[in-house]
Amino acid sequence: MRDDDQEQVDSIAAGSRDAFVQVYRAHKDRLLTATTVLLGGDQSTAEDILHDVFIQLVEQAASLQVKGKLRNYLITCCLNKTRDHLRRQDIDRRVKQRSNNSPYDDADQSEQMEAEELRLKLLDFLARLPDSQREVVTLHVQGDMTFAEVADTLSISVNTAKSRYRYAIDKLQGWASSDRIGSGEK
Amino acid sequence: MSHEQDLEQQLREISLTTDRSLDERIVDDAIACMSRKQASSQSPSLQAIDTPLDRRLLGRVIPSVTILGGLLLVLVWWVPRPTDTWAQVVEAVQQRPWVHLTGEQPGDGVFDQWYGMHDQISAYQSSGYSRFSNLKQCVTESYSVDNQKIIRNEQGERSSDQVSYDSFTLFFEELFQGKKDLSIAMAFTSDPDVPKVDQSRREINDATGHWYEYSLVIRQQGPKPHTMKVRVDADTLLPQTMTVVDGDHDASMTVRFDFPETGPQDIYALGVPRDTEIVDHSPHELAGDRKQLADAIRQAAEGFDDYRALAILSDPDLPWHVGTPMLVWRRGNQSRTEIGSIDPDAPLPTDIPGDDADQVGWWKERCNSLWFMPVQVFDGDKTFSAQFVSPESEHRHLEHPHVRRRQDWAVTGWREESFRSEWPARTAPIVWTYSQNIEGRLESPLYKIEVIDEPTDSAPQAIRIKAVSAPDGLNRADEWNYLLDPDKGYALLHSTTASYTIEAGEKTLNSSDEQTFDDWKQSPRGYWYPTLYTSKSSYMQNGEQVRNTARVRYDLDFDVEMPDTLFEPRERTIGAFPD
Repeated sequence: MRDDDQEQVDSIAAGSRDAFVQVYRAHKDRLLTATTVLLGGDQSTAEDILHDVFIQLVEQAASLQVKGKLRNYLITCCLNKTRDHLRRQDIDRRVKQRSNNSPYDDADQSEQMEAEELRLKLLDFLARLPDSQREVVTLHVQGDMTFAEVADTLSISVNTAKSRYRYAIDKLQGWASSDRIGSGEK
Repeated sequence: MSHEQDLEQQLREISLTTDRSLDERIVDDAIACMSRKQASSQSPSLQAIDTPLDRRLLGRVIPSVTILGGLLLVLVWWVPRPTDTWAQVVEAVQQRPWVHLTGEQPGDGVFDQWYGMHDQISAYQSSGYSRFSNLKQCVTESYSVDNQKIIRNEQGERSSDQVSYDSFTLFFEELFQGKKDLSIAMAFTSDPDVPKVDQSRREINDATGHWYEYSLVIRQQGPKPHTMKVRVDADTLLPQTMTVVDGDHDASMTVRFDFPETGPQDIYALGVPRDTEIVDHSPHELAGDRKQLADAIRQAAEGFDDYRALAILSDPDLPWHVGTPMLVWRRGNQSRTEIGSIDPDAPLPTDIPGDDADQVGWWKERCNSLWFMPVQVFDGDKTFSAQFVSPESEHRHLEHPHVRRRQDWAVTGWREESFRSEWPARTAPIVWTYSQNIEGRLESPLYKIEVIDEPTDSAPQAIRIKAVSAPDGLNRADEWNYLLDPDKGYALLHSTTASYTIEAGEKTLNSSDEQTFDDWKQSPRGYWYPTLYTSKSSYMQNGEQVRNTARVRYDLDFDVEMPDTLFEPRERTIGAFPD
């Protein structure tokens, strides 16, 4: 873990409210987005996972020994909790749940709706990907991790991470072009 | 821009934001959790579990521990068989003055680790971070390019560097030697399962040289085996490489060895500029009145009689017969702690005692119908924590009395803790009465200390020690107050702790804790101890101040048989109150 990250964790362990709020603000949106994508769009469950991950951070701060970045540690926690959650659900149910519980359902302006519809479809496509490929895409894109960091997080080789990403992008492009998104020809 | 880049951009634009109610829920819950943890760290119920936030235990676990730990973890599942040749490898390694390892960790880049086998030196270097530990002198210095300072710390007996050094030497002592109870394994896991493994040695004679390759093959949860290979030079019998392959995840890591004649003798040899500012966090050597005071407290802790304490944890507004009992045995510097619970499957007591009952006698009788789970044992050298199957968090707040179904709490093993304590009195109530924390704060340069005469009605000679911490660069401060009675051997009568946040020079109280000790008695050797402890804590939750009060009553029995087995990591075989 980088030293400034470790100092923040040490401060949280020592009871510093400010340190926690600082960490929370720095990472919350990225984690929420990544977890929602990992869950196939289920933002409600993602919020619960986000809650659990930050409480876990406080619980374990005193003994936390994480190499690399705190951000990656937190995303890994979200990933693990998501996996646990998904083990109890089948993918179809997740997709259905996402469709019924979209964070974008309230978009009521036509211009917004157009953009939101595009994102909604992307979320649908992401949800169709195999879990292993969706994880790589999410960590790399939403988590802003390098392939080396993705590989470390998922305990796979860098080449495997890259190939899974390539397969995922190919599939997404295929689905997108058949739906005429991803080509800029909306 | 390509279609692929368009797609990536669109994926990146999927961005969600937490709403205010979620922010408030998470922040409030987290802060409440912090406050509970701070409060529980002051709680007597955790007296033997609480790791003091002292300089000795605050050292970070260095990356080398992680690296080596990761490598050694695979050994957990290995059933070793004796091989004489590996013993020769061990001997060859231990005769070398220095061992140097280098490898690459994903994300952390290349690292170098040195072990001075004779000088007991551990040194680590990776990009932007250096650490040098002289384990004989118990001093560690660390440096990072971010803060451009050398931080010097004293290391305790079981510092992270010591663990790393010990693990490394144990690794060579135990690997392939046939020990069935690998201490390395014990250090990294409590998993009692040992999946099937295989072990082999083969001789390689090819264009690259003449080698012995030792292989371990293990199976974890996944379908593919994990392997660890150590390649040893057949002529020198010194290891050259060690490769761990995680078959399930198609990942591997290789560490290369060499055995130089010399190694780094200080942190500057790791590339740290010689004009770097040194921030010394090592403790002061005490002198004068403060030394006398610290010596008196330590002497009382050391000299205190052996005893068995019955501690009844409760809330002040509960009747005296409602609470949770704990049993604490202290013999010399050995100790054992257990906690009593009601099994909901067992019949409840029907007699409700009156206020005039013999309270201690009633509780001893009551304990015979409860079940006690072991918590921690200190055998005088090592601390062991009992491990359970039950998933219940140890930090979960339990109402009194504790109710736990016995069958859910089967002991599955004992974990050796990485810390040790040289303090002889880590058992309630004397862990509080003659507290190591006072000595630690008197010695530490991180605290500003004042000693003030403060007579009270019951203690005309009382003195107050005020310790204020304000570590550089942190926006918080802690303040400790200890009221001691020289007429009672400097026993602690009262203490307060307060934690503040500092913003723009303004201090805001985050949490506070107050401990009061009453109803004093003297042990057969004449040492004072309290039989009533009251704790008041407060912290912020959902924007409001939450106050908690706890009470513990102690009964100490000085005439108790304490067999050696009590201080071994095993379940108790003798009754607590056999009479």
